[in-house]
Amino acid sequence: MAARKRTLLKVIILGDSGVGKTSLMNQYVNKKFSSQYKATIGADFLTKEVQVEDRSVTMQIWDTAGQERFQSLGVAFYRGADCCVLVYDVNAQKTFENLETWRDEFLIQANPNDPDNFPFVVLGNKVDFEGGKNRQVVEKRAKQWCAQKGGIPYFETSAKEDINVDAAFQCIAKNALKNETEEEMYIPDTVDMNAQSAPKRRTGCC
Amino acid sequence: MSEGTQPARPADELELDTRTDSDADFASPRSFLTLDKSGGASERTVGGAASPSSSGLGSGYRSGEDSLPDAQPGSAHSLESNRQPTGDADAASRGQTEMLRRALSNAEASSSPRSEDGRDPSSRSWRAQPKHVFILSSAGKPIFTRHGDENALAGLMAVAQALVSFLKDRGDQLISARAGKHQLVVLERGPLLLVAASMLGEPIQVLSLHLELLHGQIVSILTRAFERRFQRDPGFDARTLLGGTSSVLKALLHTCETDPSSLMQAFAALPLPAAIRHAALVPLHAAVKAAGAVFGVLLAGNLVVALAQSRANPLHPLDLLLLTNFVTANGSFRQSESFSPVCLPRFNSSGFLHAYINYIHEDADLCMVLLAAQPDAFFRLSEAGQQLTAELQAAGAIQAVCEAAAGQEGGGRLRLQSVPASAGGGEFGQASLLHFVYKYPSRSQFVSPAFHAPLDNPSDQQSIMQAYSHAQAILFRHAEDGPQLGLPPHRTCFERGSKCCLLAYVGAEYEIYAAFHCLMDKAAAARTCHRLCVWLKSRQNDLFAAI
Repeated sequence: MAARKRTLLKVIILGDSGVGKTSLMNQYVNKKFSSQYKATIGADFLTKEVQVEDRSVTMQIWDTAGQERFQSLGVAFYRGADCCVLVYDVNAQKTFENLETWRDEFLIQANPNDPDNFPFVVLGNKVDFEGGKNRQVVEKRAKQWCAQKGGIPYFETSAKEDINVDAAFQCIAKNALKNETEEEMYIPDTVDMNAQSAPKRRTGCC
Repeated sequence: MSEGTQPARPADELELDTRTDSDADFASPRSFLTLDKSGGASERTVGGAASPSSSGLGSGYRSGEDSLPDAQPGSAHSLESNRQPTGDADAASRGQTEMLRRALSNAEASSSPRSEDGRDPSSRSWRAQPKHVFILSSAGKPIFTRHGDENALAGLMAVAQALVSFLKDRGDQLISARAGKHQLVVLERGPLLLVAASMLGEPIQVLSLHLELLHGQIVSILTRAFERRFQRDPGFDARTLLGGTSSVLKALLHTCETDPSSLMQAFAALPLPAAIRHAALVPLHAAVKAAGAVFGVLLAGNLVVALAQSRANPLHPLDLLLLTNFVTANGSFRQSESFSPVCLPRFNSSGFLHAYINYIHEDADLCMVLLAAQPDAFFRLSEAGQQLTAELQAAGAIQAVCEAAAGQEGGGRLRLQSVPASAGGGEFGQASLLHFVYKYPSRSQFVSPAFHAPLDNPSDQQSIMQAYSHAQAILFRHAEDGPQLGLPPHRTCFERGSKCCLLAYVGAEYEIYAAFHCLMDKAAAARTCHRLCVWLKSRQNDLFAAI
């Protein structure tokens, strides 16, 4: 009897502080939004079950702190990630420019096997803000950057108004699944009794 | 335990102080979390002779309830570190410590009621489980949980990974932590992280041993070759290789809590007349030899009837424990003769042996296990197995084992009723003994009666086991410093607890752990215990297998 294959995806959310990483996650997982800003300290962890095509997938979302002083967590946090979500604020030019740094940082720390094809998703958040009057990054510009980086999917979102949040995370899950490594045969060695020398006498245990 | 991995620092201990408005829980510690780090763990005493029972475990730790100022519900606060502030570096350090605290409070948040599919990890019944055990990968991906659904606990697993890697990044190591009623113990083995969170009151060493065995059981299923997978892909989901084995892991944890074999690092033999055991051992040896096998074991349930091993490669008792559990926890082996790869981690953790498993008699759970080093050995082993069955039948050994094992509670273990009254035995109401373990180290074996009235419920049995583990921790306190040579400095330990009185004694040839009714007088206990040992010694040849 083959056990039903259950998939767990580790998703890392990165971006400057204040762009709305936690709000996006909260809107997605808890359907809640608070306009009060509370800085994430270190990281938040949430899980969400999703259906991707006919598969049931658990997303383990690692929401990191944007402030530089928490970046020391490095390798440990990024290790084994299946997808990386880069978030910026469409009303703050600098947060968009920093996407480059976040992407590089992730690739260095996580060191994925195939960096060119590692699944990223870019989210331009806060599109609702003041009706878009103060927007500093136009959609075209963002899409251009995503295309340059090997065709990263791009979504314009609002955590506050719940615009595009589900669609974005659905895409995140789908892309992370694409990155699944193929199952290979698992054939460990058999003990070689000729090489198995008589163990030295030891007292005690362990 | 490794030590000296950390640079000299003024503080060895990081105390995290958090408070939430929920019930005390390891994921949301109401009170105190004391992180024992490398080098620091061995400093903890087990409460000395004053803590005979599980209730004594709390001693030595401060409870936060009385030391904390009032807190806003839901807000974590008041963070303390002994470290002296030293400018920027410390600001970062404080930030990280704060992140740890926050991670803990988030763990509570992330397990708050929101699961819609009935696998709610924050349910009262889940939280009330006295002992949780988790296995996760070094990427923080869940692999196994003893209770609940590991996917639903992905947030908690990520927190565990964050806690461990937080200290690791600073060249340190998380070994154990105390959170409210929970003792947390962490074991890192290659790409796996094993975590125990227990309210049962086991000593840290005992929880570590359980985790070590759990890791051993995973190795027994996969060998250590799976670690290469993680080297190639740290995000690898080990559940794809471990599918269907969680019952084996859960059975092992149950055995660890209710059977002395893990604690004693020894195995128990089925009590049998010595002549019968010999009649079983001779054809078993012959079968092992004929088939070119490495080991052969006859099991009645989880008791050993006979064990054939070579002098050059003796079977480690913990390997035998893992093998026995692997066989008995897999129901499918009962269906027909089977051939399965299995790894014995202490024998060789990098490769498989191939086990021929065949149940000879269903009622007595009599089963033969022959282990060979050739993947194509099935037919040879099967043939030798049939010959073995025929010879056991002819010698009357099957019949005798059935009589000894079948239809008796405890699967043929010694019964207290058959121990003479002068040695503490007798019928219920007369026996002064509740239970005992008698270990015979030179044969890596122990004998212990089946649990019976008044120890009918599992929690009473667990508290007896806790009492044994505390006595052992006290007697062998220094044993972990190095190989144990000769006898420990203290050979006797008497503790009076709320559930029982425990007398433990380490002699030159044996160890005895005897649990009496709690009003038992110390001198009377010593006299009874002595007579018990004399009686057991006189029956030694029936109680222990020749090895």
